[in-house]
Amino acid sequence: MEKINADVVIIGAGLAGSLCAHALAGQGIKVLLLESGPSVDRAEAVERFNASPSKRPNSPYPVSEHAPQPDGGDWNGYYVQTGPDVFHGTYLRVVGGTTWHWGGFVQRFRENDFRMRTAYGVALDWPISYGDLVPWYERAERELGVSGNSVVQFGGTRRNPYPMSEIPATYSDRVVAKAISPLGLNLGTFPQARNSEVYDDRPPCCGSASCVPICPTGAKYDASVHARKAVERGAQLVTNAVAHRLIADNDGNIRAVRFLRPDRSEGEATGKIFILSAHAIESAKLLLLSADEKNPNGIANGSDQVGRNLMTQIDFDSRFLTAEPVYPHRGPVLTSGILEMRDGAFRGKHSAIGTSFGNFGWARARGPLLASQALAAKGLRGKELEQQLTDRTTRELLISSTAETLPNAENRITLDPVLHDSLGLARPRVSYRIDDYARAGLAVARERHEKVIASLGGTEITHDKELSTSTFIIAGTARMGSDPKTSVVDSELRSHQHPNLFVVGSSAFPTVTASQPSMTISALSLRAAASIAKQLGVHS
Amino acid sequence: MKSYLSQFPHVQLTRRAFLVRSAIAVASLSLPLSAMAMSISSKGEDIFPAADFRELCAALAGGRVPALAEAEAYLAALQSLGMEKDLNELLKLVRSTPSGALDAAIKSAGLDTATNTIVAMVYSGMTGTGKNIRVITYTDALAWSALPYTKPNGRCGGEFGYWSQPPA
Repeated sequence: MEKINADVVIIGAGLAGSLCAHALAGQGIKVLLLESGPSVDRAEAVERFNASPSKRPNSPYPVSEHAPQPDGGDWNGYYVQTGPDVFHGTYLRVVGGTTWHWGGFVQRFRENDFRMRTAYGVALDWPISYGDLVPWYERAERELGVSGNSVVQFGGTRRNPYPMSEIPATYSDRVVAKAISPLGLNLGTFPQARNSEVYDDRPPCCGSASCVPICPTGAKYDASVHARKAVERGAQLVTNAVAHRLIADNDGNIRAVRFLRPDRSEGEATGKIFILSAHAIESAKLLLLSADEKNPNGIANGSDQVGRNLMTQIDFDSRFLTAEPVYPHRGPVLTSGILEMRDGAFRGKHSAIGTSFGNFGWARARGPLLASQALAAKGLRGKELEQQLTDRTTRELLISSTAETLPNAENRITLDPVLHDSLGLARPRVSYRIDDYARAGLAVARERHEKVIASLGGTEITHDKELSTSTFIIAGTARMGSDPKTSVVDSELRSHQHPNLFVVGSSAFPTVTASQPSMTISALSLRAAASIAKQLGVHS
Repeated sequence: MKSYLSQFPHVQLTRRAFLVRSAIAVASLSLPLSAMAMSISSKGEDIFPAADFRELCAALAGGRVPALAEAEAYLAALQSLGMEKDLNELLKLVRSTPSGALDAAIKSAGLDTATNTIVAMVYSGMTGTGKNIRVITYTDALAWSALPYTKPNGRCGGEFGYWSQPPA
C-alpha cells in the first residue's frame, strides 16, 4: 500500500485547501495536499474550450473517470436526483478546483449575513461575526489579488482599500446604469479576483470574455496559484488520489485517510491534523463514507447534520434586445451589479437579491454562432446576414437575479445505496426543494427586471419559465455552530467530535446569502490555518 | 501599459488580430479533419475540390472564405450529408449568375435548403444538431470576422479596460 505521512493532510486542492496548504507550508509545517483529480494545463484547457460544442463551465477541463463530477450535459450522470427540484451545482475535481471556471467575484459577506436570526428572525446566526473575519478578509484579498472600488462599498464595511484599483464597468453596464438611475437603482462594480495591473506575476485582464469557463491568460485568479506556491514552499501535492475513507482512532482523533488511485490500488496518508476541503458535496460524501462502528452515521456526524442543510442560490434570468447597442462579449463576463436589495429589513419576509447584467449576450460563448445559424435558416446570406447578426448581437442583454435560500435539513446529500462510480464509491444522492423564501424574493426581482427592461427600451423579451438552482453555489453540508447537537464544526471549523479534523470551505456555511461565497471561503480558510498552526504549536 | 507584455509572452493583445492568419492549424482536440477528407477520397468517389468550396463560400458569405483545412472539413461534413450534387449545382449557379441575381437563382433551382445549410455551417463553424454537433472551428468561424465590434471568446480584446468604451 502506498503510504504518505505529513503533519497536515489536506483533502482537496481547490480554493480552501490550496490556501491552507500555502499558509501552513509557509510556517514550516509538513503538508500533504491530496487531490482526487489531475492538474490542469491552461493552454490545453483553452483548446478544449475551443473544441467543445457546448462550452459549458466544465468543458475545458479533463474528465477523469475515477473522479466524476456533475456536468450540465446530464444532471443525473453523477448526482442521483430525488427532487423535487433539479440540483444544478457543479464543481471541478482538479488542482485549483472550481476556481478554474468561476467568475472571480469576491465581495465580502455583509454584517447582517452573519446574524440573520438576530437581525431578521429567519435562518440562524453564524458563531462568528463579520468583525471576526475582517482581518482574514483583508489577508485573503491580498493573497488572491482583488481589484475593487474602495469608495462604493460592495459587501461588508471596509477599513482599507483594495489591493488593486477596480475592474472598470463595461460600456454595457454604463448604458444600463444611466437608464436605471431614474428608477432609484444604482450599479456598483464588483470586487474581483482579476488583475487590473500586473500582480503576483500575473498579467492584467485583457478582456477575453471567456472567464466562465476559462481565463486564457491567468489574469483571473484560480487556486492552482496557491497550490503551486504551496509546493514551492515545500508542500507535497499528490494528484489522482481519491480519498474514500477517514480512519478514526479510539480517542476520536483522525489517524489516516485512505485513498484510491485510478487503477483502484489503495494508499494511506497519515498525519496529525486533517483538513477536509473537497467542496460541499464531496466533503460531506467522504464523511458519510467513513462510517464505522463508533461513528455509524459517518465521521463528524454525531449531530446528524452532515449532508443536511444543502444550500444553493436560485437564479432567474431575463433576456431582451436593448434599443441601442450595448456591445457584449467585450471584457469580463460581469462587471457590475445593482446595489439595492442585497440586504435590508425585507429579509424577514423574502430573500436578498443579487442582480447583475451579463456581458455575454443571450448564449455566452456560442451566442453569435447560434445567432448566425438562426439567420441562415431564414435564408439570409452574406452582407444581409452580417448586418442583422451585428444588429442583434450588439443589443442582446441578460439580466440575472440570484436569491439566497434558507437552510433546510431536508435539503441534503446522502449516499446512494445502489449506484456507484467507477471506483465503487457511492454516488451522491441529492434531495432539494426551492423554498418559498427565494420564490418570494424572485417575484420581487421579476418586477424589477420588467422596469429595468422598459427603461432600456427592451424588445423580444423572454423570462425564464422556471426558477433554477444555481450552477455555481453549493454550501451548508457540514455547517459551523456553537452547539454540537445542531452543527458539525465549531467556529474555527474544527469538528466537534474529532479535535484534529477541520472541514473548510462552503460546506461550513450556516447561511448562504445572495453574494458569492469565495471571499468568505478564503477568509475562513486562512483563519482556520492559523488555528491549525497554533494547535500544532507553531506560532507565526 | 504594454511594457508588461515582455513578461507575459502568452498574452496577445490582438483586438482583431485573429483575422490575420496564414495556414490555420486546426485544434488538436478537434476531429481529425484531414483524415475525414482522406477517408472519403479513399472510397474512390469524386471529391468536390476545397478550392471550389472556398469559391462558393466567397459568393455566399459576402466574400469571406474559410481557410483550406476548415474548407476540407466542411466539405467532408457536407458530403456525409449527401450534398455532393447540391454543391456542384450551386457552384454552377455561382459561376453563371450575377451576384445580384444569385439569391433568386438559388430559390428557383430549389437549392435554398442546401445553401442555408452551407451558410449556417461556415458562419458558425459547427456541423450537426443536438448531440451530434461537431466543432470544425470556433475561433475562425466566419461569424466572428463578420462582427466588427468583438472577437472570439478566449482571445484578448485589447488593453486593460478597453471594454469600458464603445468599439471604435
